Amino acid sequence: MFDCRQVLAELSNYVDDEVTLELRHAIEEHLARCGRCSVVYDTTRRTLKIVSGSLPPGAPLAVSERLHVRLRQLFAGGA
Amino acid sequence: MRQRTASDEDLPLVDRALAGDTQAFEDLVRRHECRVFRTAVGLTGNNEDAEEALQDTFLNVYQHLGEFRRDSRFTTWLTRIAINAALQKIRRRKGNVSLDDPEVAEAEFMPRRVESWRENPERLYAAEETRRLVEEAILSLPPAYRVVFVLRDVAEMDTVEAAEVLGLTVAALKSRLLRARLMVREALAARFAERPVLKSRLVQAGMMVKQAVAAGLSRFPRQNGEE
Ligand SMILES: [Zn+2]
Repeated sequence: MFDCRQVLAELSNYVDDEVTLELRHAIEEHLARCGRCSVVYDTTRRTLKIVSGSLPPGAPLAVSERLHVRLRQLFAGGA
Repeated sequence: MRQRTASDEDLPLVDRALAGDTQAFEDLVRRHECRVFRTAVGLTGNNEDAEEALQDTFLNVYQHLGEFRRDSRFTTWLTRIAINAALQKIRRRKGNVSLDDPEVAEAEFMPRRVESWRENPERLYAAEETRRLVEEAILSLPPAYRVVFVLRDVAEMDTVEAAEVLGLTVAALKSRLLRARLMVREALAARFAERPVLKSRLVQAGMMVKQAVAAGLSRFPRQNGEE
């Protein structure tokens, strides 16, 4: 039987789906009966979703344009 | 070290760029600028520094492309340059910043807030506000943890390549990633957990009571206690 400490140690791997089937079962069995760990798991998963969704997906258009203007100056022999 | 150079789809563009084809270099930039920018935003916490880091990165890449050793992927090399460019921006503001493991005590990342969160808690805030909360949470990490978190969870680089970029073993990278994620979770929990929302509702309810009292509508005989 997995205890809270063991689940916490594997939490990140579990979120990334980088655990063996055996480990997955052990973790899920623990989560089903431990409210504390299941909240930590759920909120960690959601943390990553919120982080990913709230930062800009990439360079804004204007930023990209300024970069390419600068690069063309460089190609033309400027600084 | 793994040999993945055979599958490095950037090499044809690198070769053409080295032969003087500036269009090929621009194609290479377009292919990677979004990820570099996201990495820089994650590390510096603001668009202005991230833009400067983005420009510095690709200017550097252009000037030093000939020094790219093909014993790693192009993106591995590029990401190292991007991290250094972002660290320079941070140092300008905050002084020396080290990526060495600061030996965070276990108590620093053990979960403390274990209240569940509301559904879609980020919708409680405007998009800009959520972004600021996220950036602050990431900035609160020691740099050695921040960089791991940013590569994996912001730039979405895979574990093996992120470890290679940072010169860490996969095990060390994973251990830092776990701690970093828990620390970010903790920072966001302060804003997204049920309790603070409940508290603000209680405050709101309290204000309504006060307003009712002020309006002389209260039917309760005792009104002291409430201030
Ligand atoms: Zn538990």
